[in-house]
Amino acid sequence: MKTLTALMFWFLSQFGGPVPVDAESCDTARLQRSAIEETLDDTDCVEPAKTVEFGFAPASISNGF
Amino acid sequence: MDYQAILARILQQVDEKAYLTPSSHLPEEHREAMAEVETMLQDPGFEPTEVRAVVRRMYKDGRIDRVLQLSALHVVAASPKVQDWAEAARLVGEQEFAALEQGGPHLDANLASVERHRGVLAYLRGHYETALDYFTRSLERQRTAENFGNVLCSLVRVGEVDHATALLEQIRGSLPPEIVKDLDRMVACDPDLATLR
Repeated sequence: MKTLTALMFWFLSQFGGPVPVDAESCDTARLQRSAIEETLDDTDCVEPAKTVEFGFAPASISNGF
Repeated sequence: MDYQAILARILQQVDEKAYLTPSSHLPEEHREAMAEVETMLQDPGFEPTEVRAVVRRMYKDGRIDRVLQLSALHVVAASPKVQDWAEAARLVGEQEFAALEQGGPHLDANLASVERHRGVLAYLRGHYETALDYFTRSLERQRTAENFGNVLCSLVRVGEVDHATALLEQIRGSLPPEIVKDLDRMVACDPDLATLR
């Protein structure tokens, strides 16, 4: 029955219908969002942007011919 | 990895006080064509297919040799826009063989290009120790600001900030103003070298 319900929701979701939402999945989503927000707040963990210069421009990692 | 051995090799390049301008290794007859390719690649909106076609046409017309053709195609494959690492690695292997087959007075410079490309691939895939080794080899073959800069980036990435700082100081004190100026500009602008400011 559970499989049948899941299949039905999957089928409906393909046509823009409702998707199954239960308390457990809501909690998981909240936890994931919280973890992502914490990561974004922790600026120490943000890697500096990598720039790649081509040709002979002497800046950052350089991949000249 | 034995950093001391690598550092000794890097410092030897500084001590020898030789300096090549970044494009000096390119044969005179190919410089104009490669400058065109360089301009195309530095345009953030460049079309990889178009650049590849231009490079192949230049080779067909004899404006660049096979080594430079493969080098340019590698740079396209390794670009942030394409990121075809397997293709980039394959082209480097082909470039190395073409350089060996061609031989001649540009062999060292051509092999320095191969080592540089391999270092860039290793660096972009997060293998900074391996990148440092390749960049050091490239520097040993060709002392350019570009190769010094790549070595500094790798040293910082593997956590050898003190060694990178010492190397930069040694470069500032012993190499010609042109290379010092280029490196200072890199340190000022490059996020990878921010710790050396």
